Amino acid sequence: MKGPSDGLSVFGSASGFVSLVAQTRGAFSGTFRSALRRLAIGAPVRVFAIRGVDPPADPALLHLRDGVIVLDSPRSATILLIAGSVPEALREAVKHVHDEMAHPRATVRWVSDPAEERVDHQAQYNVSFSDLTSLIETLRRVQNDLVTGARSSEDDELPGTTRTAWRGVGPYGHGGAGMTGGTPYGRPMAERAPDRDALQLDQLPLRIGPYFMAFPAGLVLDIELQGDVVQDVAVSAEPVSPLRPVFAAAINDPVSVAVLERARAEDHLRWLAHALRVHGLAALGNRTLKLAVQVDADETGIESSVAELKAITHDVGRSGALWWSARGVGLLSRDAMAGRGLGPTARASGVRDDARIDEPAYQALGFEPIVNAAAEVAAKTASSDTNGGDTSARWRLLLAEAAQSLDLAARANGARAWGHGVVECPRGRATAREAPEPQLYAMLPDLLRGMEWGDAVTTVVSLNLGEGGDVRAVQPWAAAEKVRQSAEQAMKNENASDMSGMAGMTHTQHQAE
Amino acid sequence: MFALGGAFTVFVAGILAWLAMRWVGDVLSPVASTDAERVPFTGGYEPAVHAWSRYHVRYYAMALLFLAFDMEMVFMYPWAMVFMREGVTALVEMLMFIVILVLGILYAWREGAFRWA
Repeated sequence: MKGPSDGLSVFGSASGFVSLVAQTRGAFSGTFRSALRRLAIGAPVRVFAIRGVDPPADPALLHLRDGVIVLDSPRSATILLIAGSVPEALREAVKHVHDEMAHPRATVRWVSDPAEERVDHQAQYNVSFSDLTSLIETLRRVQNDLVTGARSSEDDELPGTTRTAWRGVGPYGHGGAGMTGGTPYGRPMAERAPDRDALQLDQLPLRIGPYFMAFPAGLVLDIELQGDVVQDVAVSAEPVSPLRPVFAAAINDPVSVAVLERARAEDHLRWLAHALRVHGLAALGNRTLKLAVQVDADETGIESSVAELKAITHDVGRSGALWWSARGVGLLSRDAMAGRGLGPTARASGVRDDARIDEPAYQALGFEPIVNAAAEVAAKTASSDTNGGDTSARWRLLLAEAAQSLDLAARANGARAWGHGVVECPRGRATAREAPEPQLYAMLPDLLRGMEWGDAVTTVVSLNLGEGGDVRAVQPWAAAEKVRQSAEQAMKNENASDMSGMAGMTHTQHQAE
Repeated sequence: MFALGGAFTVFVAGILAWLAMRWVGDVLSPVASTDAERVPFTGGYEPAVHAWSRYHVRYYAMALLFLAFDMEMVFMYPWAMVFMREGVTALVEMLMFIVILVLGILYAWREGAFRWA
């Protein structure tokens, strides 16, 4: 005989059934997880690289390696690679980047001198190899340790700071004190300002950088956006890009023209490779980067580099999307660029400005600088529309100059030049004290104002600002400070009205948490 | 009865599929737990304000233009029905109508109505 309760005895009781389900689920989830773990161990290492001062090797070269993926955002990265030492002014930003990575995560410091002071207390991996293969092996080991659980994920670098909670009131954190002018998700909304049609629309303050992938490491732009139109720009941190050793040496001592011109071609190609990657042409960018590496290596013949450069020039010229996004964007007038020693950027605007003109060694080689002829002609006919060089002119000039430098290097025959306090470096005229980039940073606000954000990125990338890395100081972010003050004021007002019993239905009790 | 059973099966299968997908999602990628993991990445600083903002809908001119020509296409259906009967007269009349609209576009273009930013 079976009683009514016997039917349930298979599972003991209702709660027993629930626990059985939970156990089965747990077992499934365990198998599933271990299967995923096996897959994850074989996967490429996902890295977000931060460029600091004096890295053991160029982290951009990781783009050419298998088994490692260099990401544009730390969000989906597993490993934060800090290449070189981080300047004091940017340490806080590095900690923010670290905390923005999802778990599991780890930090690897890649420095020339492992003894120097570390940025954070958690980075347990300090490596100083200058060869990328050993570095990638270490990265892989760290990722595998994280995946297998041999190493636990790193905690926040900035725990318990007074950051605005990314969470409003209510069960799902979606609410706040109103949507128009309130604080959705616990964050105040943008202030309004007139736009070009005299409408009052929100002006979104954004701080871009110092580790935005398209910009040189350390460049911080405080911008005000309305829709995608840049209404205002301030340069809050100007990175200093290191001068290549061969150019730095040429300031005081004569150096071989062949070596110097190879280095110039390499620098131009690296710059173009970065631009191509930013524009979504990563494969073409990697090809260009590979050529840059080949140009720099002495043992390879120049002839094969010249042939590959010709092929790349052809392929870049055929990319319709690239030229379409570059034409007419970031026009720098001939007058603004004249006589400032801004190198290829000035020459693309039609200025015949090149310190190599006065060098006897270059004169002997029959050197004549490449100048954007269209801009020169336009200046003579006073046609204001094309009086200067846009982004597409700068890239055309870059490719032509790389070819010219390879040609000079091939014909130099041991000629030596420079050594009198000034040198025409890839970014313009440099002396021991002056570099060309600060002048370009000073031009940025006027140049970018009124552009769409995409065009602004294209423009910044097209100016030769170098790789960056070193920053002396970061200016305070005025917009954020203003927002913070007005939020505090609003909170005060709300509390005051609460106490007088005027507003019964506010959410102050949630905000007090 | 058969149809009801089928509907019930689909309903149960749907619920099961929903539970399975939720579970796979949870196992694969847990929801970001900290505030820092939730904010949009802008290069190393946190945003000062929420990104919900009222911006100018710049495509409204294009949207209006689309509506105008959409309505014109509606007028063309009855025209197409009588086109064979009316012959050249119908063709000329429709051409006049379209030319007037095109002149309007050219005028708006010249005045900068389609300027995006």
